Amino acid sequence: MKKIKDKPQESEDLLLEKDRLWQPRIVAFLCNWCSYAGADLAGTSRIKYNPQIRIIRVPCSGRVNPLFILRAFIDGADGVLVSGCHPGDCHYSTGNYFARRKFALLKRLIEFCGMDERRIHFSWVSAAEGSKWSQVVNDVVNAVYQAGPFTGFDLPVFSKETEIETPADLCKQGPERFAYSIDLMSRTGKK
Amino acid sequence: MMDDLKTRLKEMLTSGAIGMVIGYGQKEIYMADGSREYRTCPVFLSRDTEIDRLVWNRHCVQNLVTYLTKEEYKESGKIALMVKPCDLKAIHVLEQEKQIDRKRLFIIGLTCKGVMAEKMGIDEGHLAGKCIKCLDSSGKSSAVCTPDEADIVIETLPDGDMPPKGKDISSDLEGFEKMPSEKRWAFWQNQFLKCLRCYACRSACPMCYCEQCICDMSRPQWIDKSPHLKGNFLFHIVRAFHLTGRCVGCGECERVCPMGIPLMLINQKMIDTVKDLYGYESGKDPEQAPLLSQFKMDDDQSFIK
Amino acid sequence: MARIGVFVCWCGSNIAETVDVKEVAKYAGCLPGVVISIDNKYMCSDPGQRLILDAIQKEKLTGVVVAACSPRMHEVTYRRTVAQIGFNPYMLEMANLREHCSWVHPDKRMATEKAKDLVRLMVEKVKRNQPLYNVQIPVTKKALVIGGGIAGIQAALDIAQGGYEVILVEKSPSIGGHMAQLDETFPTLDCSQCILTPRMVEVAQNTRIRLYTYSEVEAVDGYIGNFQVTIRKKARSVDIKKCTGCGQCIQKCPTKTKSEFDAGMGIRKAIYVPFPQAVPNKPVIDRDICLKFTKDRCGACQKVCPTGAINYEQQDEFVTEDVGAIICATGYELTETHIYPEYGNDPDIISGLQFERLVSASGPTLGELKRPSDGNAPQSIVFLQCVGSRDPLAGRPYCSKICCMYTAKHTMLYRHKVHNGKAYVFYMDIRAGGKNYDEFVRRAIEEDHAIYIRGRVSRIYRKGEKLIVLGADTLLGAQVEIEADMIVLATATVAPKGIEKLAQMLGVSYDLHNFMCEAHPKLRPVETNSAGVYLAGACQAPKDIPESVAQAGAAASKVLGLFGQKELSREPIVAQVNQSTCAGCFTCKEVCAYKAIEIREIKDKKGNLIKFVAEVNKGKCQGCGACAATCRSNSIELCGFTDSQIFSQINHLTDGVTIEEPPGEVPMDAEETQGVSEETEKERLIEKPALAGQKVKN
Repeated sequence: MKKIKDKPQESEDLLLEKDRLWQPRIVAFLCNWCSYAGADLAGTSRIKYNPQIRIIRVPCSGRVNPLFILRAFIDGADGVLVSGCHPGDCHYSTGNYFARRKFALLKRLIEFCGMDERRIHFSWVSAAEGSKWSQVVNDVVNAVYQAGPFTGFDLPVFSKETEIETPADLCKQGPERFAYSIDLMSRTGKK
Repeated sequence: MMDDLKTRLKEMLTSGAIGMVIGYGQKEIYMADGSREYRTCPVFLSRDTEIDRLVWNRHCVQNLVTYLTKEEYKESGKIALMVKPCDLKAIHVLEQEKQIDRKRLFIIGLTCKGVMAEKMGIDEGHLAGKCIKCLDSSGKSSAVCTPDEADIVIETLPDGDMPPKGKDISSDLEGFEKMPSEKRWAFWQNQFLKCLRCYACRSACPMCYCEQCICDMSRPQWIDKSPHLKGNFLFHIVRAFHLTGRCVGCGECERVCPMGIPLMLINQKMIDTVKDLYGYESGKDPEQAPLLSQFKMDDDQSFIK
Repeated sequence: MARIGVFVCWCGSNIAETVDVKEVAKYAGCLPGVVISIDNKYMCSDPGQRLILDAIQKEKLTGVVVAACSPRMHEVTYRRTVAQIGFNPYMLEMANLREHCSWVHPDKRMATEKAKDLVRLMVEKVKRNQPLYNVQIPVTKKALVIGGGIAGIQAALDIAQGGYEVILVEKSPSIGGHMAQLDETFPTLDCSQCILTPRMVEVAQNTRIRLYTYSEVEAVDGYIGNFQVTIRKKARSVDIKKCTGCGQCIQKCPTKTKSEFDAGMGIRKAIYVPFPQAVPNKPVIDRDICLKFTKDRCGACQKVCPTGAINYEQQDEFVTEDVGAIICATGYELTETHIYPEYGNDPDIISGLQFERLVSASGPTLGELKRPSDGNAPQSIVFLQCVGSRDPLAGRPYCSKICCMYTAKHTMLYRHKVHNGKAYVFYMDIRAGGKNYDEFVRRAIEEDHAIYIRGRVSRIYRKGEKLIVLGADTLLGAQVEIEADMIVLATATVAPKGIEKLAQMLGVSYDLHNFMCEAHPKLRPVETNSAGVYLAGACQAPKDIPESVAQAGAAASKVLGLFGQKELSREPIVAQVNQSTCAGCFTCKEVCAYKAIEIREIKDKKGNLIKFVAEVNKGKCQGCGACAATCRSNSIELCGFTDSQIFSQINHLTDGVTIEEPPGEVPMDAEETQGVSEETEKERLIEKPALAGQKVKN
């Protein structure tokens, strides 16, 4: 898949053409007691929202291991949403507080590594917030759509340019010392 | 001072008060060109006749706390361990996580004014990165720090002048964070691509003591084992995340990496983040609850919708 | 080899209208491992359920996916159905095609694609399901009630009435609590002692209730149905079996101090019975002031005791009891009277509880109202409400709840004693919600002529005989200055000091003000998040007597409900530790809200300790999975939501999601589902590219 970059420069027609070919794939991890119930309420109230979201039910946002989120990206998701009970409402009293710390740190960590912040989302949606749920989904889909398809694990750009611009010549040491003549093609395993 | 220590350790070994000394010693190694050199490396001494091998010099960069949780040394009775002030933090984290019994430990506290970067790379001949941070934070250019919880303190400083400072990681970090996200992603992709999955970083890390590392699990196989980009990415992110709030910044992972991946850049970022978000410093206090097993009602949640 | 059956429900037209159920069923039939895939108009109907049961038997299914409504709706129904024929209910999962798909996505094509995905994910999950069996826990049918106030007494009596044994622990020498101190009660003005003391006697006489007074809970171990409680019986210095309660020792005792029961208004001896109706009516020696203990002389009580019951050598005694349920009824305290420095610390400024003792017929003045400083009958009293409560700056933003009512009662009691006395009340709001409560306050104002002033008091100072009260009347917008003989402060109701220790022992969470937290503020008001521990009375929040009694009854009924079962059967959605890989860092232990993680020693055959590992107590575990997500080596699994189940769901997320053709035309935005003209739609496309893709024609 091609990367959609420099969006403004492309003509609108071209954009639409691409839009039609690509739909974001978004995984949502929902806690059973609040957010999943909130999504149920959106259903019972027939509040329409974007269908590009696939919900995986977990008992509590505290059950969500950061691995789930990372693995979703590995397995082809373009965006991830984790939703739980509002602080103080956790069915298990403190699950979402622990989750909040984990998510805050994970988000900072992978954004530091260059992950687009539009791909990873967290929300508190209560069992009574059907309309908030639909709004959250639409917002998330929108953000991921703007970020474009996730091609982060395609062949990396191993150009001179990125080497020079990285600070402190940090990436130089490895290749130099170990005659790092790499065959990138064989490393990434495909393409 | 060292002589006193050696005499005492010999006594303790013969009397059986301790079972083993883990410290720094010198070892003769043969170089590729046939010449011979002396290198400072960790030594594991269980006979009193070997004690004379112990040294304390500017090359004692390794964090010996790592060995405490290794299976081989669990049976060795009480262990005497040479500990630099910064390494003490690692002991605290392990105590926090109930991995070591302080009673089984005889801490030989070293007085330190910085050690040399022993990385087989650009920083050789300079002060190690972690020392720059440590000396800066103590407010003096040539700080002398002493572990206060040691069972015995070696007050002699290693010989030699202060080596020149190398590059400070904070400035690297600052520069790095200014880059746009695509550049950062490309940078790490290139870095992670180099990873051979030799797990030297894992072996050298004092905090990586799990009996079964998540990276070795195959049912389910969360992290692909072959060294391709996806698996490497996941491995390094998970490694960094598992060290969040636990990493004491000893820099061993980066030092031992044969491919020169700047792992401390990520680790330092997380150390800063944890301090920034929660005011938490790992290894500060063995009594404090681990970062991820505590929370405050008013923790930052600006990122949550 | 997995043999999965997929059952797609139409839900009449609810699902079938927007999801092509036939196509979904056909698609599911092609998934690896699926041996049968059928659709039916109403899966939850009898014939629909029959279909599932038949398929399980005929096709020897190992797993079932019902693609229908929300699992929160019918999961229990289907699981119960399949359990009838001996199929493990936890091998059935539901894909939510109605609430999460057909009802929210009007585009048939997109909805069908999503439905396929949802079914595929569930098929992958159910392949990795393990049969689970309910956890059976034996229950010790004996309850512990902590606190012998009216709530504890009521709960103990109710449980005993139900036929089960109760242990009632009270820290002071007698049961009765604050209610025993009250003179008359609102809104009926009946005598508190007259209604309480019969209950206290009932407790003492009930053979099913074992009473531990002057005792405290020292440690709590175990979990629902199986608690082990250690009780410290503090040394009374009086052998309760020998003592006849004659009271000669009290008369002879030379040491005096302020009586706690009289809220400091009266005095008691070093050996004392807190009040005449105390249960048990046996004295106790206050070792802090008794001369025998402080200076090793006197010993008058021992000399005078006819039965030789006085025992100075008595030691604290520890008793361990096994109980199945615990009711916490530890009550409240009032704050000090001098919490506001501007009110000063005059002897004639007293608290509501002290006023109760002053007007009580059994009080230090035998019911004659005398002010503490000179013993004169006060000709005017100023009552101040909300002293310390509803004051965020004092750290107590909550309402103490009982003060509006008892202040009204106080004005009446005062006016009944001093007929021409003046009763002024400074109030913020009058909160008199409750049966006959507002009428009661009106009576105080209209019949007993209490003067209610809306406003706060800024300063109190002494001027000769009188206390001058400076305040504001916010209704008149004027300053008020009142000369009073006595001031009564409705001080804030707070949790007893040090109660958080008990809460921690019980595993009950407590709020900022140390009031204990219920499991759910509305639907589980007497349960706590520690299973088997219930709350009664003011330990949860300020409460008056009727409320405390009602909650005590509710807590008792919960206990009776628990004891009514043979064994406690719990859902098997609990965590499990892989002890061979557990490294024993016990991070899981810290994140568990239920204290369900315990430390276990692993020993070799010779009995040498190999390592410490975590172990989940299935009785306590509620299945949140926080431990599983915290474990770095993934050594904890949450049954029903295991790592491999979730992994397979994530792993099969994107199989076959390719949509070659552009999706059909249906407006997607929630608020704009109808009546969008071509033009406005085009405009929107430019503004909102994210939603545009799905809306393009042709």
